[in-house]
Amino acid sequence: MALPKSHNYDPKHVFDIMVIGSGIAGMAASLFSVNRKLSTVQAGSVGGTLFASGLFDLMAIHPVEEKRVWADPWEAIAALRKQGSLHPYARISDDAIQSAFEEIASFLSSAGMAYRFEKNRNLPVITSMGTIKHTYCVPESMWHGVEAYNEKAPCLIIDFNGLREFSGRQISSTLREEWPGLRAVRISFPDTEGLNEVHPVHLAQALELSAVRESLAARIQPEIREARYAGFPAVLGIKKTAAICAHLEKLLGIPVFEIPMMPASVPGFRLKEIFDSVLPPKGLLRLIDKRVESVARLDNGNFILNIGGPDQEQFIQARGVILATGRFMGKGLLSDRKGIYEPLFHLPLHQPESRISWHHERFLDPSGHPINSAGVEVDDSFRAVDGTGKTIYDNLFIAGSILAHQDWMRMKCGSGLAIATAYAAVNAFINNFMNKSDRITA
Amino acid sequence: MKFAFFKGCKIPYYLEQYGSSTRAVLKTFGVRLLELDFCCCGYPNRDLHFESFVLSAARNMALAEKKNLDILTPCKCCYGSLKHAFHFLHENERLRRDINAELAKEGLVWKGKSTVKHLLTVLCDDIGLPAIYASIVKPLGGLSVAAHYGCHALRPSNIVHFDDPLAPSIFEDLISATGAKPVGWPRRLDCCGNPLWGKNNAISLALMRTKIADAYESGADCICTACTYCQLQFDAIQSSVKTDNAASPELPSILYTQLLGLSMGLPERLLGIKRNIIPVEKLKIV
Amino acid sequence: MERTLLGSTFLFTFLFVSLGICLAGIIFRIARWFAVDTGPEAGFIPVKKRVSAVLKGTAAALFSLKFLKIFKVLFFDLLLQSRILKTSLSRWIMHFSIFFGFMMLLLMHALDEIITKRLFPGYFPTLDPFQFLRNLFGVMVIVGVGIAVYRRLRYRGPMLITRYTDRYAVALLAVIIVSGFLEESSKMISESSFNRMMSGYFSACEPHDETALKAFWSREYGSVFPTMKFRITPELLARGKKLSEESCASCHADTRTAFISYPAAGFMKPFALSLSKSRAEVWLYYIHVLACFIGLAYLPFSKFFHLITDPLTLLVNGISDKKKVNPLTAMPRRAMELDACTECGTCSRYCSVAPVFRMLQNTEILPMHKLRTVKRLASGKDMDSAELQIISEGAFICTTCFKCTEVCPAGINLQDQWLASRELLSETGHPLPHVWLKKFNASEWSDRMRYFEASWKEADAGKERYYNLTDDSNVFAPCIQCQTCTNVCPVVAARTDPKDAVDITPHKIMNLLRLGLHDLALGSRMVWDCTTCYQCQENCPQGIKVTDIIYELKNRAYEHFKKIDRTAEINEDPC
Repeated sequence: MALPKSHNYDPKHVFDIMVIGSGIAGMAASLFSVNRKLSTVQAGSVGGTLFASGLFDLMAIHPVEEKRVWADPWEAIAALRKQGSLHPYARISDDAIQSAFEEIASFLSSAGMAYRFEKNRNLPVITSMGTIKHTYCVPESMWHGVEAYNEKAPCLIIDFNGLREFSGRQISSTLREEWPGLRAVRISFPDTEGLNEVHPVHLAQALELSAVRESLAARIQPEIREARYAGFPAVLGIKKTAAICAHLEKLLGIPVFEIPMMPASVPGFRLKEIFDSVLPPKGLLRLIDKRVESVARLDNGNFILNIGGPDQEQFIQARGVILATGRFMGKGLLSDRKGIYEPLFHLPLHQPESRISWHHERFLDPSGHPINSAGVEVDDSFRAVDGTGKTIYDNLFIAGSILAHQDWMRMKCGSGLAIATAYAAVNAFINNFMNKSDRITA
Repeated sequence: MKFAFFKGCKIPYYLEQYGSSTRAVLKTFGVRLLELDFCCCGYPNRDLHFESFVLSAARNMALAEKKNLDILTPCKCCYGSLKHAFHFLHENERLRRDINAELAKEGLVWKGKSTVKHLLTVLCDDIGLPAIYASIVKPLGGLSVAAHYGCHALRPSNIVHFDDPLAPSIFEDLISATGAKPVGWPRRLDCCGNPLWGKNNAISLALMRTKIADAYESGADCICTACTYCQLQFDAIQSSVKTDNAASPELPSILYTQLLGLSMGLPERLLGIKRNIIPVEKLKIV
Repeated sequence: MERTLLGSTFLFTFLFVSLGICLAGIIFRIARWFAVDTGPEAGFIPVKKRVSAVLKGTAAALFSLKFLKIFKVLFFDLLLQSRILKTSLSRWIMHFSIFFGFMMLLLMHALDEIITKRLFPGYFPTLDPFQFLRNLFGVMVIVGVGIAVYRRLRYRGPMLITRYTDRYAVALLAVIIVSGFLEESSKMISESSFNRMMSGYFSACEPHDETALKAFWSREYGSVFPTMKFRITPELLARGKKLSEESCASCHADTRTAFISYPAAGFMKPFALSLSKSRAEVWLYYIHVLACFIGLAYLPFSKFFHLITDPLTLLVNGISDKKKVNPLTAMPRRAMELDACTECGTCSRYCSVAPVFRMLQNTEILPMHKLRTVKRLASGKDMDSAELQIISEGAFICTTCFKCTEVCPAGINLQDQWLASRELLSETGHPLPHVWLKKFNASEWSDRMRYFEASWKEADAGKERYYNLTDDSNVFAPCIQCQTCTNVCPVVAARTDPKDAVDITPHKIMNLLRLGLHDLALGSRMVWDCTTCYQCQENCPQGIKVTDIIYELKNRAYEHFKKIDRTAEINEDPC
């Protein structure tokens, strides 16, 4: 469908699917939908993916109470299943999760942000704090960091005057015992002398010009000495990171890698940029900065969604909905004195009995808090169910962190959960609804 | 098709060629333009006094409304300003009442009946790409063009409704129609720097030079604009601060209406090609 | 001497004195054009250079092939006054009536000895068509003046200001024309004038001839003979008519064609005796002629000076490119233009930022007032910084849209005046707000604001704002300080000299506002260096209207800070 530029689409058009939410789960669901030729519309605020670190976790820690770190994520998932956990992973096969990752990775790679992963192994990645994080899938630009860490090779960490969120010295001192060959150097980024503050995205944009890269390399060159790798804060460009890395490697003569920073960081901007700019040409209608105000259901089962905008109300009709609005941060769940609730469809939630049982007594309790596992419960097709396990709507699917029975932050499974459940939800929409429904869907 | 033609303040003195080329191009598509007794769109004064900005914009919209016409403007800043005022008047009843009371003194009223459109939207959506493709007699093959979007038409998208603010394509689609090749460049959606010209020239020029260097590195032969202020920045101001520095090459800037007009075979004189300060002759399209 | 010019040595002397004053005045004022400094180039171009540049320019224009252009200006702009017609028909009618009526009276009537007599050898002022035309032209002037007075009463306000010069000019014109008519009427009814003419040009053949002629004139031409008693018979009239045709008709047309003076004479009939006795026609003549001479002497110092400056301005600007200003000749031209302005108000009515004036009520926004201010600045008048602040506000609110220049009936290059005066204001410490607001940093402004607290409390009091983003804590509640606004900000990203760089980045402004530290946010450079590209607002994951908030801060900062004296020292408590 050709869409007029100014968002004045035909209000009578019935979309196959509407994705509500714009985080990784929402973006992944939109990608899977357009890849499967569904006419797709997505609503949500901008920048849902900004807070992504760029690393895609699958699963690293289970059980949370024991803080057990798994070298092989699939073993961790298998353990989950074996214990009869209600974690969403328990409803998806390993093959499906693997396919979901491959589909995302190949999309990002074609858009210029290649990813690396090893089949059965979590990868160790240095963070800006100097700690090691275990993750499944890393951007190509960080890959040499994994290698350097594994080899404990002589390595130079470069940081920049005024870049507050990153300290090379802290990294090298934290890792000194484990990795003596790590050395930090602080320099001024070209043309920022005298500024007491610089911002990662601006450095990344500046590096998109070759002259800036050359000037930067000239400043680093004398510091290289014995180093065989050069580690940078994650600021190596927004839109052409691969070319920038290659150019810097050529100029410096050694492999370079990026070290992820605290969100919102440049890799998050890269993901946002790719999802924002590549999905619409593939046929996605993005309703940016528009929230779904309310929902109604027609007699034929289609959802009518009232899309909020400052000057006009818009109504969109869709055969199915994928709800990927996240938990509290994404405003997928709200709370009041009585408890938490889901504001849009008013879905029944799995949640602690009362507010006092939301948290354990100790804030830093290693087992996390009951509220961190609250959310929407689903059937095997990722359709919301009520307390008795009955499917509520045959065309409402749930994906991402709004799902119950998972504590993604502590289990280190956030991106995997988002991607895999989005994948499962889209496929279920096609297989268990579009193709099976006796309703007229076309 | 008939529109009230909102030229804005800068075209008559600083950029006549934008007015004449817009008229020439639209005339061939049968679009009639009527100039009313418009005043400033309010944009420059939004910095200092909100109500003055709204009154200026409302007066213009009310004039068009009185003639039962929609507004067409070639300037993105005017576009953004009028759209913003529309939004504020639509949303804030007290503001609307007070502004209408002021307008009533000259027999005008704002009801929000008249739509504000940017030139590119009219070309792409009202006239339509097929008609534009059909009008091309001299395709500009071999020319690589960096489409400069211009901030005030694009953002904030929920108020200006121009195109997808993060992945717009309208300008590239229109450039493709002329036979030229739009290039992808990282800074295409960034600010040209003109809003700060005269206010903080150092930053204004830094913004402009970054964009030019980026367009150059991305393989563009020229920048293409569809906004009065952006064109002033990339043409008059770029040439006025010209340096011999090889690191900051000079890149010509052409108005979209000139580019389209050339590919439609319209006479150079109507398009005001010679009025561009950085000569576009070396692009070998004239 | 049989016939002194104008009939009296007194008047003759008066004329020459007036003429002398007039010429001296004109020379004085024109000389001033070369001496007055207007615009930023002032200090660099000595008077000598200005004079030679103007002479060269004039010569170049005369010897170039610009005849067509000159002719066009002369015919359309000057003679037909097409520039006025373009903007207002009623104003054109008014101005054209006065202009055409007055010029024709001047050429045909006042200078009849020099012009009319030579062109038309049989000329006598009392013959038609001259007698009729004189009345017609007089009526044109009166009608024009009438419309002018009406307009000035009807449209009183900032768009059309009536000053003493306007009143004097209108009054003088009225005196000249009315006294002229009255003089003509009084002559018609004057017995003594009739007798004087009769003794000079008539010799009676028969005893009743005199009576016959008088009878005929009193019946037909409105003469009044209060001392005479005669019975008018048809025979007497026929004789009178014959005599009149023989002796008078070669110089006197039917007085009825003086279609104003004739009926006026009718009204004066009852007072004919006393008027005649007091020689009214003589003193009316003196009033008429003296008023003309006073007008002549007053010309260079009055609104009438535009009779000289406007054609010159129209010619100069008509043949030169208004967009390419020659800095050498610019200053005398600007000074001449300042004299050419008649404050007709056309510019203000077409002003693009007139709606801003309606809101801010600063008359310095309106071009007509601005030009007057430019004149005051050029004359070196001392102004305090508060006054200059108001002037600067008006100067920089102007969008230099060129509209006023296009409509100015005098053809003044107003655009150039604005650009020049802006530069001058910038140089003298009153640049546009975005520049002077950065004179102090955030904490210095904050200090100043505290120092002048009374004034800013007052500014805030009783304000019912349409939007109040900056004071609303709900606006900032969702802010998670993720720095996205700062990260996408091109201004923060611009890697310039640190002295040009922004101080408080957008996310910090949001934080300051969240903490209620408004005064610090108001004075930050960031607010005034914002390009309003809306990247921050579009990309804020929490939907905070960052750019709109910055706009609001600008509005408030400007409102407060413009009242603060930027030159005053503030004595901070050393503790």
